[in-house]
Amino acid sequence: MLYHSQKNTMHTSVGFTLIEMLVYMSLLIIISGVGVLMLISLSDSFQHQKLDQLLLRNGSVVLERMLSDIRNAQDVDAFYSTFVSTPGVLTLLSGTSTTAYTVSGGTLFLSVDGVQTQVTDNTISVEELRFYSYDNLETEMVRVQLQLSATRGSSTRTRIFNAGAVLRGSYE
Amino acid sequence: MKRLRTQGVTIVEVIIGISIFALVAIFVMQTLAVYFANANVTQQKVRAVYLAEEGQEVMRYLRDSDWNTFSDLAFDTIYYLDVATTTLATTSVPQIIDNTYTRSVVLHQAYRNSDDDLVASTTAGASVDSGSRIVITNVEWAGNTVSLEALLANIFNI
Repeated sequence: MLYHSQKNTMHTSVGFTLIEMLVYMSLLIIISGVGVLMLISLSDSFQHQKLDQLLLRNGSVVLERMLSDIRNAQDVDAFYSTFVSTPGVLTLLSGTSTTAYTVSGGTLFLSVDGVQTQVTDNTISVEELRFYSYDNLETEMVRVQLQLSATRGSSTRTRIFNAGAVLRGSYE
Repeated sequence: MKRLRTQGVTIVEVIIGISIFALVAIFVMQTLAVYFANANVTQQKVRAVYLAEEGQEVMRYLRDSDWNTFSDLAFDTIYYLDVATTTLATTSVPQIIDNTYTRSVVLHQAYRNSDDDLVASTTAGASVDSGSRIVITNVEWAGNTVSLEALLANIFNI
């Protein structure tokens, strides 16, 4: 009798009603849905940020080196340079030394007196490299337009860098 | 019976638990959002600095081309740079670069004191240095600005 009455109590006051179950389940579904979406967008953002950092580092390395070489140069070797079109070639003359920038298979190479070194990482692709040359009889100036892209998984990021400098050695 | 009543979680407890979790999650997300926004601004700023540097070099090139034309540019007036494939010039039409940046140039009159040091125009005894220009290049985008300043002097057509 005692057992029976306890069993009765359990039936009436323990467990959930259908409404309660529905409320809890919908809450669980909403929270887990929001959580999953948050994680997906977070991992996307981190992916983008990683690619952006890669692009920024490569762009800065390329431009710092190029601007420094342009400033140090006395003249542009127009015959061995390709201006305006992409991928451009820039050949700089400084004293007896020749410095050339070329793009091959999406990678930027620097060659100093015929010795070639790779400038951009293998993970980076040089989409566009354009050089523009200006001459006013007193001075020469070179402008660089560099477009880099990086891909990892399904996300691709692209950045355009513009820079330019006067050839300090070109002052006459 | 008493034991049975206190078992389980009430809806109020569930809601409190969820709200605490949600608050923490919102704080974390906001912090990360600020982090990503800052990283993005850094990205843009680096490229803006290269553009500003290029602007200063263009002004230097124009100074070298012909001092008279360069010195005819009005003071305290906003100019933009017309960058073509083989020519460089100033223009009054704003030029938008990469659909993001607007680069402008302003020239100021240079003043010097009796020791030939650069001073403000309001300084007592300041005289105009007609052979120099203070050149400021501004690159603006989405509420941000990068600014570079240089003194360009007449070194060719003296």
